[in-house]
Amino acid sequence: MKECDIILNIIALLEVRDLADKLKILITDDSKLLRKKLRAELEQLDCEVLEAENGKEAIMKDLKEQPDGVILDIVMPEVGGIETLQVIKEINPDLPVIMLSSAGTSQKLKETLELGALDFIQKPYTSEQIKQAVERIRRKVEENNGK
Amino acid sequence: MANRYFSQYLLNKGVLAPENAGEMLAKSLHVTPDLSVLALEKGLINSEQALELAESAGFIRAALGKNYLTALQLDDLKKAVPERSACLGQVLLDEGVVGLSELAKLFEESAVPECHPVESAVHDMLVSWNVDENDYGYIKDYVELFLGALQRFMNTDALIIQGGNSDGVDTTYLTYQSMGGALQLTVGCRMNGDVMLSMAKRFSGEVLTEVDEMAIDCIEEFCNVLNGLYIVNMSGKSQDMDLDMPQTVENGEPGGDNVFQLRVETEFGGFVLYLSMDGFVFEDSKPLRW
Repeated sequence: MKECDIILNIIALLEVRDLADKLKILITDDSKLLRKKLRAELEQLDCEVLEAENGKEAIMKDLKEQPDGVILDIVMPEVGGIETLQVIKEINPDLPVIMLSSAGTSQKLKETLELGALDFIQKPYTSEQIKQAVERIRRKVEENNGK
Repeated sequence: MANRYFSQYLLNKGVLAPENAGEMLAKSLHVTPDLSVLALEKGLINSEQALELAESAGFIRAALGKNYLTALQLDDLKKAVPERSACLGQVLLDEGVVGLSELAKLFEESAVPECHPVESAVHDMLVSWNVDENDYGYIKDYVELFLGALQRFMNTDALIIQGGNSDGVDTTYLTYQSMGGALQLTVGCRMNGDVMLSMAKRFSGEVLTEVDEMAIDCIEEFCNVLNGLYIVNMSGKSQDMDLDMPQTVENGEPGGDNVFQLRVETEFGGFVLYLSMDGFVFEDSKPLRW
């Protein structure tokens, strides 16, 4: 094997390892703007990002792509955030889900936390809130892996 | 410091006229207030001192010489981003609408805690519409939150004018959202393409050149965030409400019983705000979808 091939193989291995260390986060929101802004925030935090436009797509991606965590809106077409949270938690009870919605009433907060959401962020969010959410997802993933 | 809704206060007082309020707001975007106006707006000097300083050869030297302002205060005034009220005050001076002493009086009067310009404006409008007294509080709270959201998310001064004509507007877009539960409230903004683009760009910080899927998404998300804040406030008053999906229609004019309309003027143009406790009814308008 040539020297340059060995180096390329090492780089490829390092990239695979790096990708494996990255948190894979699924953003579920019908707003294209929100997804674009949030993707940029998450990529800055070194996360791998998946997107879904509604609850139905989120459930499909959860099954297929197996993200480490989900950031989930409530008011969405087809399948809303509450129903999506219920289904996701039935499929994968340990998956960390952070609600990110404008509908942050005390009733919705209680309902989603009782259904197993890890946290609730009221829109408009701040970068600090997203950073903390990613940290909470990371800790939960580590906790699950340590089981 | 002058009232957060100083422009509304000026309109209520008759200092600004409904027909040129939008033009004055637009002009305020491009002025740099004099140090005397900035000091007046912050309440650091009174009108007599301002007049005395205005007659002196140099404002800074005179203000320091007479001990009206310290070097540190002057430095802060020069460095700080001017308040919208100071910019509008400068426009009023430049246009000869008011003099320096009258402007000082307006700043002072608007700053008192009892001064609620948006509440007063909404009250006057709703009295003429015979709105139920129970509904008045909800609508007043919503309009105040709406104008505050324009300041916060669109970085613009804004005021409301009774009536909602869309003169000179060819194509209009109406973005609306309903809130239900303890209280039913449907609200919508009807605007032309230029205003919609300006709003979308200001809210998102994105480069947008035409009214497309992203531009409409920005306005719908703005409504969603704003209305979310409203239902959270209502939740704090033990009134639980839910949000429906925001929607946008082209050339749609909301009909139905008890639809109130207000003209909103901003630094980037005017649009119409519709509010209804019974929902909107449309004829031949379908939501825009890509």
